[in-house]
Amino acid sequence: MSKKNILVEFKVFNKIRIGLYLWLGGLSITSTLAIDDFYLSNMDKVYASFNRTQRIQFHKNFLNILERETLKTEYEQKKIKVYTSYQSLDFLNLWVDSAQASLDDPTIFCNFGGWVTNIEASKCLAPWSRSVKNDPELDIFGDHYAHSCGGANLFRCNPLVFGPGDDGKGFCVSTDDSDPNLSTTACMEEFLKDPKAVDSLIDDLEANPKKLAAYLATAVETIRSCNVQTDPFSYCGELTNLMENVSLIASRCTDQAELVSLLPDIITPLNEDDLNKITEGLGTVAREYAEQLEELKLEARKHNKRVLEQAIASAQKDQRLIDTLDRVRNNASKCLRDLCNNSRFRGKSRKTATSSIAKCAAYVKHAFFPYSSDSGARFASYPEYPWDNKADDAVESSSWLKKHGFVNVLDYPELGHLTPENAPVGAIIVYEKQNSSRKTRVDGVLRGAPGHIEYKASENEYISDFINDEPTRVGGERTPIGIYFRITKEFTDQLKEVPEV
Amino acid sequence: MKKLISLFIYVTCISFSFESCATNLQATYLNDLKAISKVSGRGSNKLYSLIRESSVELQKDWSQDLALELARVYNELIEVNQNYFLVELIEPLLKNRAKEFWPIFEKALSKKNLKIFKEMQEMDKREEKEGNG
Repeated sequence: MSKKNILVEFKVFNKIRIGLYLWLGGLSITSTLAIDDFYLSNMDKVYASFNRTQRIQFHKNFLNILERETLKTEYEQKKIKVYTSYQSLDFLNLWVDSAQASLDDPTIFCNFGGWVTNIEASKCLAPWSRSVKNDPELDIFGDHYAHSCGGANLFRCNPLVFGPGDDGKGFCVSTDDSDPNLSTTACMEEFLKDPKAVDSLIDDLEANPKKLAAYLATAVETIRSCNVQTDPFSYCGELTNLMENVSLIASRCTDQAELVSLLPDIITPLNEDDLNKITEGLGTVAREYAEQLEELKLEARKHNKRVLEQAIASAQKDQRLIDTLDRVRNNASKCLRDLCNNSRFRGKSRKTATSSIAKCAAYVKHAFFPYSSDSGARFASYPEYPWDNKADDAVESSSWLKKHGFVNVLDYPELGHLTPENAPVGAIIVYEKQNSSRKTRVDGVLRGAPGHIEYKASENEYISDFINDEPTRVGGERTPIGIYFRITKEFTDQLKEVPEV
Repeated sequence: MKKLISLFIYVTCISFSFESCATNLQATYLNDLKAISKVSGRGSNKLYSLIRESSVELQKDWSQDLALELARVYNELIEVNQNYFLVELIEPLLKNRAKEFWPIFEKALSKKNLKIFKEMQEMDKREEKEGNG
């Protein structure tokens, strides 16, 4: 069927549908009840099967993708925070036991002038707050209001759904902008005034699969929202019909491979059927694609974990590391250079091995960059490090560690579970100081200085300028930020790229 | 009027629940500290956390009993471990509740330990200022 034929069919069907609403209003209620029954029997099961992370992901997927489109509109008016925040999703757990497919269902959003918004107390929230109300100055829009409609009873329609309007930012319509029915209907009427508007919108979506994915997300959420209402918004029939048809044509004519790769961002078990309907089955294709991708991701992570564990095992056998651990252990009971001068070991050549003299970073470096007279294999030698007042604090150690091929294994998600307590022997552990008045930028992040650094020399031996029998967390005053091992190219070359889902 | 009374009852209940919450927390810390007569080994992160958390609690909600117990245990800790960084566990308390806590702390620490504590403080300040590299 050609695009033109579908559009003609849509327009004819639309008229019939509106007629049906006028003459057989009761019918829509009957069909809604049937849908309610379906949701009651299935939605709670599907949602209950989600763990907390999946539930959060479910909400975030949609709203992030829609938020991206929203931000592109560069509004001057402050956007009402319509998306559910990451932290406030606990209430979703409570909802599972009393799952109801209604406007109070937290998985249901609503459409307000093309924008997907949250529902509170069965009311569809407006997407935008008015920055200024009833200001006569706003009759003539100045530069400040270049991207907004400027005041009360003027509403900016979502350009993603209703086209770009004259200024490319979406139509401004005169309406009661606190009423979702009137605002949405006004947007729809303005949009459909131009006989070529639907065609242009479809062309635009076809050419931009990312935009189309966002449109499809808006469409499925609108359909779900309209379906669960016992008394649907007056715009529901016409709007869902319009969105279904636009979705069907645009998804058929766009680059389907690219579209399918984007759909996993918006698909959930709750909307797959609707997505299938409006894309001729692409929802299922996208789910299968996402599942395959997930399998590949798990496989790659498993492979990488194995490679990294082999790399660490190999690093542990490196004679240079073994000798470095011996050196740091021996040095802990010595006063190196003048480093004891500001401690109770002033003027002595030896110190108690369990006493720190606040020179952890210096001692760790002395083992790593030993004097030529020191015995054992080494990664580097004393002259290679700038031993002056500008010497790095412990928290800054990543700079010299990375120069010598060490990597923070916590940067690999496969080893993200490592802690100073369960880290393999031979690890170099770097901490930042909590409650520090001095901050320093480390790998682009501000960290509490001077921090702490130590070698894990054996299971119960953490050594820097002193020997500790447990990680030097100081009851929470030091927080680990890095666990370093030397990972050679032989192993990094074996790492697989992990596909993003 | 009914609404006002309901609001009053609600606010009162909430206040009491927080009060009892704080009291419970203090009681837990107090019991845990009381259970320590001597510090074994050189202490542990578990003990350091207890000291730090009790110190934080005292800054928020002063309790003479908890302060006395905290100072006593801290003295026991210095007996076995004189590492400078341990001052950080109670430094904020000494700063923010100086009037109330310092006299108790000074009295609880032996003369020798008080001197050591002051040296630890100096080293901690020096490290933060000059670094440890």
